[in-house]
Amino acid sequence: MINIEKLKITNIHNSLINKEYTCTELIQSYFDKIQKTNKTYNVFSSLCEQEALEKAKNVDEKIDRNEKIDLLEGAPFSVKDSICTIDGYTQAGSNILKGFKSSFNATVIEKLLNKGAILIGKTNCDSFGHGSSTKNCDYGIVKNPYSLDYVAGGSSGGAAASVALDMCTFAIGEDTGGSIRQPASFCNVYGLKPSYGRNSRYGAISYGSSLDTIGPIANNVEDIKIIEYAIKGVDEKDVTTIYDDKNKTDINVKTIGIIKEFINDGLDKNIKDLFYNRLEEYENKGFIIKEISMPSVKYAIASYYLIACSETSSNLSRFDGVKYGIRSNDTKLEDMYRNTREIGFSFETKKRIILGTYSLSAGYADKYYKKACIARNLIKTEIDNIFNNVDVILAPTCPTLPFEINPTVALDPMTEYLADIYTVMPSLTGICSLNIPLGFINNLPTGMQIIGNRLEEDKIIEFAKI
Amino acid sequence: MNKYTPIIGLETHVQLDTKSKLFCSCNNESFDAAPNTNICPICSGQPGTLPVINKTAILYTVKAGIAMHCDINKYSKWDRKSYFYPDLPKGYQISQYDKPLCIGGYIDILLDNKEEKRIRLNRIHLEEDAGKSIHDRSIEYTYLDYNRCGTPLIEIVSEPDLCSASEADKYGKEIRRIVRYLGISRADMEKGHMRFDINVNVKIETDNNETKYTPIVEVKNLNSFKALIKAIEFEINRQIEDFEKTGITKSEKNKTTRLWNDNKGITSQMRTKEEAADYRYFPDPDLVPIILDDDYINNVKKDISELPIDKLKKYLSLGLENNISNYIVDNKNLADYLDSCLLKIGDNKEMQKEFLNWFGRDFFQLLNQVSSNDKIEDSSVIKITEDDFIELITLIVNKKITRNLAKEFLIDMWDNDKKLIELKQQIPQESLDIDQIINNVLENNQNMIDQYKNGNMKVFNVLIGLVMKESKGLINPKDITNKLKEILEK
Amino acid sequence: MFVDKEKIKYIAKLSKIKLSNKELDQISKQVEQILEYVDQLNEINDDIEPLENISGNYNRLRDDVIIDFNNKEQILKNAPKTKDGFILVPKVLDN
Repeated sequence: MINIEKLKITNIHNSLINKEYTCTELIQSYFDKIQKTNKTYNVFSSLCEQEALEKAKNVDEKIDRNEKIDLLEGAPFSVKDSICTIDGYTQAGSNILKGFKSSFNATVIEKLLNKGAILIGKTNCDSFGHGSSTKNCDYGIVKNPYSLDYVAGGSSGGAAASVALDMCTFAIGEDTGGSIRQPASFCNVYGLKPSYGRNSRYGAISYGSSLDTIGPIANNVEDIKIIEYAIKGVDEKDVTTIYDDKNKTDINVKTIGIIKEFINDGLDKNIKDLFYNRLEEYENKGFIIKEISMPSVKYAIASYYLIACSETSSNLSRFDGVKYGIRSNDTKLEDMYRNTREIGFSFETKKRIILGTYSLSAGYADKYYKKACIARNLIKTEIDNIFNNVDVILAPTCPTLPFEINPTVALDPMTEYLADIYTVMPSLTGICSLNIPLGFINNLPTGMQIIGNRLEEDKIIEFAKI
Repeated sequence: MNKYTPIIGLETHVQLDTKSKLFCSCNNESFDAAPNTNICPICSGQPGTLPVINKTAILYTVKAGIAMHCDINKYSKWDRKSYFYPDLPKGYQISQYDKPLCIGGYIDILLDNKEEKRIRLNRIHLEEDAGKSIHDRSIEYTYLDYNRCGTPLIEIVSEPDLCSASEADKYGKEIRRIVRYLGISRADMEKGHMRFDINVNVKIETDNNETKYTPIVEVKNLNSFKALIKAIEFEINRQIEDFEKTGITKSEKNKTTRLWNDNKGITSQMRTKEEAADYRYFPDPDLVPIILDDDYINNVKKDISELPIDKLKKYLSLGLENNISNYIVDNKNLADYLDSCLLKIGDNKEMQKEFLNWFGRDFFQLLNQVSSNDKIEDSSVIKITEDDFIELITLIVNKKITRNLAKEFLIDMWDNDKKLIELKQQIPQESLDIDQIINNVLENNQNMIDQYKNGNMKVFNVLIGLVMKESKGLINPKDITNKLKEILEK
Repeated sequence: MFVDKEKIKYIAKLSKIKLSNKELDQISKQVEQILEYVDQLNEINDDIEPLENISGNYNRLRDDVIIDFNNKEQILKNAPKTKDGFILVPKVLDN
């Protein structure tokens, strides 16, 4: 048995070219792990075992022929269920897409497959990205790798857990308001929300189109860099992708910013202590810590939810039982529409569609959607200014520890939304943010964000190595 | 007696003739294709797909805007128009709401009384077409074909300046002419390249000087000029009758939508109650705005020369008949041919007059013989080159050839693919001695001279015929007549 | 911030969402709660432009070239009901 615990991409690459083990043995080891643990943690919604072993065989044949193999070749990865892959199913964590097989691969996935990475399977998530726990996943909750009574986070809970549980080497997730960073924080792994437009969204089932980003999740920061470099780039199929014309020479961090408004009574005291301890360490290493005020950040949650729900209410109109997914047994079209969406959508998804439709409806659009976009401009202007004075911003990822699966007191839905307070600001402003493990409290992990300006992924990744 | 004035506004949807669709690279030509064969994940609304705009569709829209005298918006954007219908795969149509590519504008039409009327436009915007729903193949099911999803459409919205079905017909036909002229659409009604929605109501001026309006009715999806005319006429009558019965006038809340039934020749109210549709327009976050600069717009302007109505006026002023002028304008290849010939002829009035006579009469006679299998729009249908035609006219004007012989040549070139250079060899090179030929003929027909001298006029014509035969038709009959008379009088 | 249940019913109808009485109650309350929370946005001046183009891109256009999609079979396979190449749906009420 190969020891696959926390294997790095470079480890795998070296082992393969040095013939320490075969790719087939490697992939088989991961599937053995999945066999043992998936039922408990409910990480995968579909697996691609046959296809993966087929690909592993091809890698082995290449190695046998002494052909060169790429750095990512043979490395196993998982993909969030809401990102299109030809292999496996693409169900977006929702009943409405049960059994759906995509006719194409998402651009990001295509890039990884072309580099020889091997798709293991699709991971469970809150349906359509609607949630921060996977409690809203129609295929079951993903359990926290560190404790079965707690959630893995969301919406990319399965992705983060798959990496933490060594079910694959790295994962591709999707982050709209914190959906990579928060589960990464809950699962003690690294998760990168890239700058908006840096990675192609083509093939990712849209939640909030102006907020969605696709990014890597891994056990170490070197792998984050390797994967990000493999998947980034302008895609002619996605006109919102941006050119990376940033000057890469200056990735030095001197000044760290802390947003004053983030540190309040809502933040768990233990997390706050861990956070400030880490800040002290940075200070001792010579970094300058600056406390900055960002008054408009109080509008971030309101702006985020109005925009995300408005966009999702429109993006989910195509799920109507006509062309794909499930269809109810009705003889009248109107009934078919409503019953299909009734069976197919969860309560949370229905609620977000209602809120979004309301926000865009005649007479209300100016008051809600447009106002939210105005707030977004205000927040972006403030963050642009802040980055003139600091190199990176540090913040906790989540104000609380991982949520309980069966809490004694049910969480108020508004409270769940408010827990996104630290993650929505980078989403609204299109900048990048990397979650790194911060520490444990009562054996549950918590993370911290390194937030960088647009297209400064190199800077925050370098800083994470400190 | 009440005075009734119809008020009609037209929304014309024209399919653009780009190679690929508006937001994806599927083939835009689907007329004969099997169902769901010109589709891809984008136009069939699969999860995870994103639209990318076709740059030629933008060009064509700007061309239409300039030709129709619109202001081109330098900044324009894309909006989602949401509604549920099975042939609309995404559950929303990507269109343009508050910042379309073109605003304002006008189209001039020629009324029957030769007066010009200006129909103002409100805007022209670019949007995608939906698929086809076929309802009559089965009792239980509607059959869906997504081949047409994503076809680029321009929507030309007029102000309610039209007053009759006839005006609407002319206006619609002028749009068809313009888009064909610009080469941006084939506007073939039978292939569904053009569709009309109309908004109709009637202004009523009563005896006691009150002005009232009937409620506005929208009739959607009229796909032939016949249907357009019939639907408008039906609606006007129906509304007047309704008003006389009920007296109900237009209000903000009573605009309705009706459907035209071609078989029955009536409009009927849509069965489901139409609440004012809430399309929840908002900017499409998957697309980015279009910014056009002066250079772009000027380059497009350069490409557009004369418009159909300008050509029509020109041909009429040159003396071509109304029917013929309209026919030429409707077939751009003919217009191009005519314009090119006229350009080569230049200022020579005599040449121009002779040419236009031949063009409007003899040339058209030949065109009429063209079988229905050959398309008039196809430029290969014209069997005489411009240079040959002009040279022929030159020969006539310079009296190097009689009109009769010229006519023979024309037919020979058209029917038998002959070139003028061959046929010219049939013209005798030396100048013909009329005197000699006539004297020859008279010498051989002494008896006829005697008959003429005795007062027999008929014999004169026989002699002319003989002279013509002798000269192989190369002498002008008029010249023969004069000369013969002259000689006989001696 | 009172949210009219009738309005929620209308919104549900617009978006083809079915709500049981219980769900109507719950969603109305929760939407009300959210709208109350977002009300603070009204503090912001309307003078500021709404940010609608976060990528900052313009004019990303495509050449007019035909590219045939190579997996149309899967698109049709995904449809719940097909016949003779068409996708079938229960009849629309009014034609």
